[in-house]
Amino acid sequence: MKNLISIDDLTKGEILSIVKRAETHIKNELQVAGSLGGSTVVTLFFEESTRTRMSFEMAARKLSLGVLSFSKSTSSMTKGESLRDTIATFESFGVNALIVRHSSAGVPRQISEWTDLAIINAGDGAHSHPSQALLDIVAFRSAIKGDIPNLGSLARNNPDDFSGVKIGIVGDILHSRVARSVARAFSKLGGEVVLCGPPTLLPNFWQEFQLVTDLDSVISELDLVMPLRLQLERASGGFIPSLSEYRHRYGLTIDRIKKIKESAVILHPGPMNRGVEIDSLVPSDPRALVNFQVRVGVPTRMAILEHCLEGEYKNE
Amino acid sequence: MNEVSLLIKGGTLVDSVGLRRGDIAISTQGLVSQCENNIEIASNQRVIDASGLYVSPGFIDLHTHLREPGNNEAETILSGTRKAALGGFTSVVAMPNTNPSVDCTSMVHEIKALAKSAVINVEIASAITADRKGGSLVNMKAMADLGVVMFTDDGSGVQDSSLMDKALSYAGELGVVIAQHLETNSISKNGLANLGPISQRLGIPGIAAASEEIMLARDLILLKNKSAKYHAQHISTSGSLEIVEIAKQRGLNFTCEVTPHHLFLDDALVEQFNPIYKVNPPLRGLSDIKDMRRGVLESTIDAIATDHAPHTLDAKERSFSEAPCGIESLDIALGIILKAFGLDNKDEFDADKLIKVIDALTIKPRNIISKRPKTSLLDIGASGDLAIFSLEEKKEVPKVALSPYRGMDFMGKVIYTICGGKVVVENGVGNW
Repeated sequence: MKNLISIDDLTKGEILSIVKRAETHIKNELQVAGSLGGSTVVTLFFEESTRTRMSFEMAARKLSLGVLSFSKSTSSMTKGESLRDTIATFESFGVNALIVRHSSAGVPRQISEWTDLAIINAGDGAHSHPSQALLDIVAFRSAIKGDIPNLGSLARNNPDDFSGVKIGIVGDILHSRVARSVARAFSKLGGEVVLCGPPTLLPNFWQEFQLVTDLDSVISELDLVMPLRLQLERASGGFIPSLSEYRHRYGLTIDRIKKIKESAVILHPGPMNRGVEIDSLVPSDPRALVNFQVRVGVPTRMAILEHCLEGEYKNE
Repeated sequence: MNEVSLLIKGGTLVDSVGLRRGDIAISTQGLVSQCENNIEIASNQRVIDASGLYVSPGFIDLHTHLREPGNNEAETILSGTRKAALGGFTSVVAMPNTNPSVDCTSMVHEIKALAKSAVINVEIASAITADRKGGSLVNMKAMADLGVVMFTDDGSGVQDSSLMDKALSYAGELGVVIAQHLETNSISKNGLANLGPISQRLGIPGIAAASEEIMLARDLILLKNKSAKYHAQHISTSGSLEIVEIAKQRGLNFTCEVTPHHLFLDDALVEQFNPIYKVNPPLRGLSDIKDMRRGVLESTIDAIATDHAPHTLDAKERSFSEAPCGIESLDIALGIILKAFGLDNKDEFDADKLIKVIDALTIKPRNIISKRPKTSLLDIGASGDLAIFSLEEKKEVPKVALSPYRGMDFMGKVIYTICGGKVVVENGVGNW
């Protein structure tokens, strides 16, 4: 059993091993049913989410795992049960892994201190969302390897090493667990990460990655452009003057994407605010892999479940 | 009244006068009756052998949360004062953020009644505003007349500048302390940890140093030309120290305190996402810690106050955002402080440093809340409140403790605590 709480828990080798396993699942080349049969996972979502939860549950079912679904609103936690007691309850059921989402950073880590069950982080506050970062790597590698129909081959790089690849994450970096995980994951594979957004939404004290406020000054250098969903309440919170000002400066508009390299890829972790961080027509641009990204979610999470439940597995 | 008088013999006295050999006799009235070298043992006198030990005035904590009434599961006046006594404290100032808050004379009476269970002196602090809500001033004079020494909305700062201005004006003639929890809510908002590289890397909402510094600067501007005794609680940032330095250099009369944890623990610890490290003000960076230590040694910072803030296990096992703020340290404060200043290391022992630190735990806090400042607390006629400690004995914090100090050990152990001539801690164990 292994935890996956943050990208920091994985070596470069483990990241590649998980994404390659996911790629084999995409090709449906594996007879997967049965190998983990008898194990049960719980999706323990203290914060609502549809896509991530369903994606994990679908992945678990494809692996013939038992799935229990917990949501805070319908649980005893509304009766005042503590987090620790909730975990103890599931532990006594004899489940094998807890897939945890919580609005507070650090909860999966806290839970891992209380139990030997495998803990898989499905997003905690602004801290970490490792499965999203891994599926983004799978999507990006598909583009590099020319696996995506209608895209044409972008083959120019070693898919196992992102040296020379420049990744721009654009938007509300400060509040984004996706940004933190994607930045870590791509840089672990050798990529150069640029975090771009308004000064009020950049982590100005954190100097691990290059911080840029002027998207137009870097957009033509990027091989991967990832606009983040902008929480609409950021404007009322004073982080940005208005949504239209944000679109003017950071939105992937039809005009702005003309500056993006022909060979580059646009990924969006979703759900999209069309007309804010991304214009309506942009997801249809051949460089945008938004739909493909959603498709790789299930196979990537299958690979994550296998990684955490088996501890290791053999590729090829 | 004590049945026998006490003689503390053979110890090294440490207070603002300096470090010296000396014996102390305490009368049956509980007052210091002699303080000199080689006092002869009288008949019917209990002798405490303090050879190899340091004898200082009892410690005074300006900032203690005793939780009673309202959260007796976390702490009571009895349990809290016992911890304090084990730590060498003979007086604590009980913070008013109980449930209900201490904000009226009837609550003062209630605390006084409850404090009959205390094993050391409990001084009472009231809120500045009704129910600590920041709306209207409490009946300060009526409570001052009952002996309330301090007014603070601790746990929250008084946000309304105009109301704070009035509180300082009104309190001026009463001789009481107006103490401020320095936090500007519009800046700290939903912050949980020090705003800096660590919180930003971890995605934990940050609390900017400016939250503390803006309120400190504001209060000092309001304090100008007023006679109120203003006390800044738990300062924690380099910027706050700088503001204090400048204001004191310009002759403004006020005091401030720092906690043991802001002298010792840094914000890298929140990487563990364990709410035992959640405290307000948050643990800050290493350079802040360095400046806090310098502030004590340069006497810019007047007092070291624990901000002892116990919570139940259940409360501290919530998520980092939901768990309450607070660290306990009454019983181990001395060891933490000695370690913070390198005084736990025999080879680096520095008498001047020890004196500074002990002053910040004794005479300086006493003079902040006292209407008649003293120059020594070991004078004849002073209350027989003493802490007798060893620098060569270790105090260990259990690995399972609900404490950021769990698993650590600290040189510096309180062997005796004497309060009003009564031996409340003997050989490191409570006499209760």
